[in-house]
Amino acid sequence: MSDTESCQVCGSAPETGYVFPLCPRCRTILASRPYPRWIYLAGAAVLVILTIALSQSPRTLRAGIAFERGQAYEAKGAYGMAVNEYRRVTEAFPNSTLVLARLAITLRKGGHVPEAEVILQRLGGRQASQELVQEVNQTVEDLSKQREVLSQGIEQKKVSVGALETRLHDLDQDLGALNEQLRSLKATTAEMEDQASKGMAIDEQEYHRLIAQHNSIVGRYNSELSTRNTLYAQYEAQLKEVNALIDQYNRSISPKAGSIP
Amino acid sequence: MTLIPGFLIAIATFPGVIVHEMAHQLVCRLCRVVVFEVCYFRLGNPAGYVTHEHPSNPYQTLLIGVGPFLFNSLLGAVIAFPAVVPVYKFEAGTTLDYVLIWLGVSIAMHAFPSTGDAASMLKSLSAHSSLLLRLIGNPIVALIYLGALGSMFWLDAIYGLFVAGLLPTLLVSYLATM
Repeated sequence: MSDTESCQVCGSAPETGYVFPLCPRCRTILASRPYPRWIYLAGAAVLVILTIALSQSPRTLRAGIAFERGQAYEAKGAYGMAVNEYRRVTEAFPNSTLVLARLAITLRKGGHVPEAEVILQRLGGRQASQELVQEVNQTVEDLSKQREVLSQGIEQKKVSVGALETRLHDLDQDLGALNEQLRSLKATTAEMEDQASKGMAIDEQEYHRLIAQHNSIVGRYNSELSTRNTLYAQYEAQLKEVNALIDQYNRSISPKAGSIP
Repeated sequence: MTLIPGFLIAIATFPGVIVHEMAHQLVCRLCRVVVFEVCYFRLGNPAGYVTHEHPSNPYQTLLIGVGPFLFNSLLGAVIAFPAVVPVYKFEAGTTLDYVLIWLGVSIAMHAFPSTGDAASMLKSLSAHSSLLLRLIGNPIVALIYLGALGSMFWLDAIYGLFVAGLLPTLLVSYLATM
């Protein structure tokens, strides 16, 4: 750099500190070489695209954060919280395979079988990572096994309830027969008492035998009635259990409409 | 290692080349260094260049050299940020999102200063005896040459994907813990 040189453009005194001798004004002009118009146009286009995208950013950012939190809750076993977070994500990305899969899997883990089934039906045939596909297929298998176990449980309970119904029917018949015997004995002893009250001679020995027989039958009747009442209580309880299992099974195959998007 | 002609990569990622040269030009403007000629993009090697006055101040040379690294990285990350969650996380990106990802990665992968920039910096450093300057400048020059070598192994593309893709994802993960 030479302090004696003049500005290469206008000839005035050059600015110091630079190799190329230029005055401050000329240096400012030459250093501020303008960008071509097409750069500005391209930049404007990118700015427009970016503005549109940034307007979506809060929504997508919230969804991204919700998904991360959902995964964290799911890992901790807090399935209810995880489901809430995943549902927030589906508001922004209702058709994302990954989100729907995680939601279905978490619903199943949390015991919300019907809602999980609805989403799993939507996922059928979609492409996903091998790991996710395996996880979803495992969930479907688990649900299927769960229904099978329920079905078997229902059948077993039905058999048990059927056996109780038969036993109750037999007891009712026995009680009916005993009741008939009691009525007959009562009629006979009443007739004998009537004869005795009229001064007629009766067979005392026979009378006492009939009374003893009556009392014995009453004892048997009461005993069988007690057994019948106990069995009937068991029957009612098991019937309630069967109905609950059937309800559970029906809910797993036909969920309520409008539960999950 | 897949060898693809450099000009094909330059064509596919031309926004990055343009922004790289714009960054050089911008820093020259800020340092009041005269710019004689700018070629934002061409089918050749290099794909773009800025011919400028040789700064007498070596710090200016360093700034002009590393300007694209800072500018391209930042711009690439900002442009790709809105699209990262829909595309990378949920595979539910729109056309607009994929355009932004392409723009962001293209710009970020041309953040590395060129060997030409490194040569210019080295020349400027050797002309000065400041120890501090050499301590700062020489490692930067070495990194630039390593980066150029690494570009043969797609290091620039990996960097572009990291800046435009992974970094915003990491940010989202961090925000989720708050």
